[in-house]
Amino acid sequence: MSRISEKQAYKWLMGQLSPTRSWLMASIALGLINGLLFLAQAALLAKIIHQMVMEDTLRESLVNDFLLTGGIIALRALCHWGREITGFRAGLIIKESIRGAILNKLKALGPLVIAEQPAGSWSTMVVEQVEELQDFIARYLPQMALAVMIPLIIIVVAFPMNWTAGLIFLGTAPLIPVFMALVGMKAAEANRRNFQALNRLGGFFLDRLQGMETLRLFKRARYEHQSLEWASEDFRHKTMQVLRLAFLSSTVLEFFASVSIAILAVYLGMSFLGYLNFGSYGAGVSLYTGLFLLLLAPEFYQPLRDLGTHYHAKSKAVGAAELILELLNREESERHQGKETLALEAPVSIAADSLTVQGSAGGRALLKDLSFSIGAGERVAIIGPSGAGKSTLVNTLMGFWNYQGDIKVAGENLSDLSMDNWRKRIAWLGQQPLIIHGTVYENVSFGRDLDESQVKLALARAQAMEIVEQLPDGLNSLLQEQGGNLSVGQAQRIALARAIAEPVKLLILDEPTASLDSYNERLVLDALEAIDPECTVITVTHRLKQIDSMNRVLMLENGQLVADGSPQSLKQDSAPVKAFMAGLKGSLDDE
Amino acid sequence: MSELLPYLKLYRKHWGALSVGMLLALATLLFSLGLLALSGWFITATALAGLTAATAQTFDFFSPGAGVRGFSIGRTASRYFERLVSHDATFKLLAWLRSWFFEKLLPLSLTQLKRYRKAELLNRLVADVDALDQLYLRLFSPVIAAILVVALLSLGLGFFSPVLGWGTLALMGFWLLVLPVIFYRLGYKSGRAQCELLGELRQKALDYLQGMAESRIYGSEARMRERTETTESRLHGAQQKMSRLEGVGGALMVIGAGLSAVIMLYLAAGEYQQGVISGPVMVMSVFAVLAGFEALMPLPGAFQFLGHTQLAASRLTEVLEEEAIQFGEQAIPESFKGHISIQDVSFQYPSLSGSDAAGVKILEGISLDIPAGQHLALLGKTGCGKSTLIRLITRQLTGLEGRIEMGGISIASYTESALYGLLAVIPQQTHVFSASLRENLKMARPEAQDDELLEIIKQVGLDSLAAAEGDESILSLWLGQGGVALSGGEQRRLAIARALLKNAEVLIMDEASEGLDPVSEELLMNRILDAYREKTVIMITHKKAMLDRMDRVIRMDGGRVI
Repeated sequence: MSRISEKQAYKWLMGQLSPTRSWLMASIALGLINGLLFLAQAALLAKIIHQMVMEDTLRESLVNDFLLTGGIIALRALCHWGREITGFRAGLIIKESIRGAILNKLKALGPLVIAEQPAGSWSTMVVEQVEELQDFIARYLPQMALAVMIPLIIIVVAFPMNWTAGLIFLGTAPLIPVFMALVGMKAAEANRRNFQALNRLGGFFLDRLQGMETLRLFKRARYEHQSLEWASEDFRHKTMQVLRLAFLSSTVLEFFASVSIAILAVYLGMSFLGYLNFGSYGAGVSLYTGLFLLLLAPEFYQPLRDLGTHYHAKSKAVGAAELILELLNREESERHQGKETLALEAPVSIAADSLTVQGSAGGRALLKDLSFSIGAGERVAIIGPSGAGKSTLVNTLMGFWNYQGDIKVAGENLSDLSMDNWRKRIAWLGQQPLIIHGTVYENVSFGRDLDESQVKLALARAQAMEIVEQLPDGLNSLLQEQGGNLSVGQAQRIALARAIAEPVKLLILDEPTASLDSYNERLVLDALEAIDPECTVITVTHRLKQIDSMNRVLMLENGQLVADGSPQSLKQDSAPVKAFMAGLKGSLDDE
Repeated sequence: MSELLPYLKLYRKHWGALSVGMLLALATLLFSLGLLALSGWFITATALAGLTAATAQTFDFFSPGAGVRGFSIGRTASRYFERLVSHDATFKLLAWLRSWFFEKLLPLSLTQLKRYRKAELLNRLVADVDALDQLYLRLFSPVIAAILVVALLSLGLGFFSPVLGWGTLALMGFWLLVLPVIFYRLGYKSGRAQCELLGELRQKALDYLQGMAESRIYGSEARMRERTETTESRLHGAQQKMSRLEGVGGALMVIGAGLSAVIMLYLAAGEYQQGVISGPVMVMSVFAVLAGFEALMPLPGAFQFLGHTQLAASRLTEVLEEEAIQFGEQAIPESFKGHISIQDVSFQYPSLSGSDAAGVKILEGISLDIPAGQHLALLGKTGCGKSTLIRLITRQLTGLEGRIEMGGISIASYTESALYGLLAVIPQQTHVFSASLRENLKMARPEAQDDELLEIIKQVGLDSLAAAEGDESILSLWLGQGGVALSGGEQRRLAIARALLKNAEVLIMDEASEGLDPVSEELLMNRILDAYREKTVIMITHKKAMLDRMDRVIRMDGGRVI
């Protein structure tokens, strides 16, 4: 997985625009119409003034022109409104499609890849980073087109009226691409430095807040409050040095914008006074032309200045696109996906033959050459040191890893089965209970069609009814995770209810009691005792007591199967199991 | 606005730089207005003068010409310096606000602050503080500049004709009053709705992604996806509403600027026809009003932002009003011995959500006497209250029932510096500061010399961090965010190194050896217990191997000693 460059990200982002092209075009078109209407407004104002000052026309006889100008202004307002709406639409469509693409990709990559990073970082990508694209598409892109088109139109209009004025515009026009680059590079640099400095300061502040407890214990908090100020001062110095230079680029733009007005005014004044006699194709400059041109001058640079204010949107969007593209470029390994289905009542036996699981492509094997068989209805413990491959094994059985070798479940090849069909037979309970933001009912039913009585039954079997009874709205109470109204132990019992809400033939438990206190552990284990004897149960565990009550124990070490047998026989005969058990006795958790 | 008051006062400290920035902003606007207005006046006046050769000859074009050039240079320069000064001032404010907030946060009890420990909430806290320092740049400066521009412009034009002066004041003043109200309302309501929906979408996406394994197993992936998508479209609905209103706002600005100029022209034309003002002045007043609207441009953004800032301010106030820990006046007594006595201590966390989870007692009537110099091991399952007891001794939690004494004096009587001078703590989680290794260690003993630090680093086995580099450079190694990330084991070593450096009277360890391999575990535990041989030690552990070295073993369950 290679890093995505800014350029690639920008190119990719531009490639995503096709579904929204028409909205963008509409936004640009409205911007253009607005520009043209402004020309008309300027011409009308110039005409009214010319009429009154030079021709001594009374304002009462120009009422129609006044009203017309008002009408044009109303139309411009309408265009402005339309620009906002169409731009927003354009952004919305892109956001929807990119959000969809990210979620599809994550779905395809599967839960194991999702677990590689804190889930919060994924949700930040799905929400915040996609939101960053909005202003870039809605505002920056249309403005970029307008920053080129509007000055061009103004030049085209100005030249036939007065070539000197046209030249004054044109003289700075070739600079527009230069400005765009300047705005693009220098102002962007200024922007980036500024935000970098702010971010780093924010990071520093956050770091000290997080470490407040430690600072206090070492009597350092007061001192650190000083150093916070020093660090900020230091950042300020360095950043201001950069900004001093970087601001110059936009100042150059400001300079041209104001100087061209000044030159134009002086040129026009001198022409009127007869000192200058060129520019108007021999016809002489009228006040109308003069005022019209003067009104156009600020508008010539305005689109470019607006672009500068949206530049920040671009750098944010490109930054977000880099991260998004990095995710979307990740390779998905082909998943086994067969079509065969199992009969619902068929008990699940499992037979693995030379099962090997490769981690990432070319990485070391997570599971090496495993062969074992598990009978239907057996209670099996999988033990081994951390990193031995226990979770990989259960994840493979659930169809989340690709494998080499053979796995037969209920006599069928796992790779020939439809995964949806196979997973209907499994329930799973992990170490950290998952509580979603919703009611008890939603947490247990988890999107399945379960009625209230089924949910209640599941909760009762999971020893979780007492939790529901404490809650104000019963099944409809909103659940909040740790620190809210649930402890870890209670959350695990809710998760257990979810797992056993529908009858299954294979129950997979991945250290279900590792983070529980003794009371909750007992309740969870009691609930598990009562599972249908026909159901096969595979438990990954570290607890000695749990191991003793199993029919079978599989021990893994470095991805290899090092012991397979009943707990009683292994405890006596198997050297690795004995060593492992001795290690567990060193822990006091089991007593 | 009352939420903002306590924070507004903070600005006083930097009023100098801030008012310079504001003056420059005002100057920029006035120069730019002057440039256009004077240009309009100039070309109209010259056009009139040019009608006859005589007036053309006598027309003084030097002063207006110089004025036009001066305004254009002045605008450029003042804009440049305005940006410099205001950015500089913002940085200063930021530094100051943060350290102020940090100081305010210091005495707060961790019971309440625990809520903010989740990274997301803490991030929001930081963002809230940031929102306050933007207040000046985005709100004050533009609003005050706009008011002054309108006032000065009305006054200036009023000098030529009262009608023009009052007209300008009425036209621009109207927008000056209307825009803030509209955009404040708009930003407040839909901004809040948007903010909530964003949070909800984040939560739904989190549920969907975290629950991917479960939902695949239960065949409900599509349903869960639907939940996210429904929220997404609700969010988009809210955003659309906001964007429509923003569009209306922008349209209003166009109408405001355009119509004001037209009405101004009509009024000025009346004055012109009555001979009150000249033609050039008529043009000047129209151009001035047209350019003057530039000053009102930032208002919509400023007031949309105000709602957000108010929210931030009220959230911060809520944090700052949390209960503070009160420390006593007692210094460390001369004859201090590390005798700790815990007398009938109970504790329960206050309920956070109000109704239900309240009243779970974490500790119930614990009494424990630890003579000076005793090494005590504390055992028990997760959730039995061991760590809570530790936090009560270190006064990180308030709400203690009962009494804890150290050296025969209640811990509540000690000054903060005395109490923490007596205690060395190795917490369950080590915070690695984003700073050099030297800084990370020196916080335990600020006066420590480099060779001393290097010795400790070797003792705890942190020298492997920079195996390839020289001894000196390892101390400058940057750790934490933006530097070397320490593994769990290395973090423990750092914490142990800090405790060794501090060498206080009492050592408290909360699963100090977690994450270390058995060999280093034994080595390090022996080392630290040797260093604290004569001192009182309380150690929470899960490992049997440690118990042989302890003088006494206590087991806890369900908030009691058993």
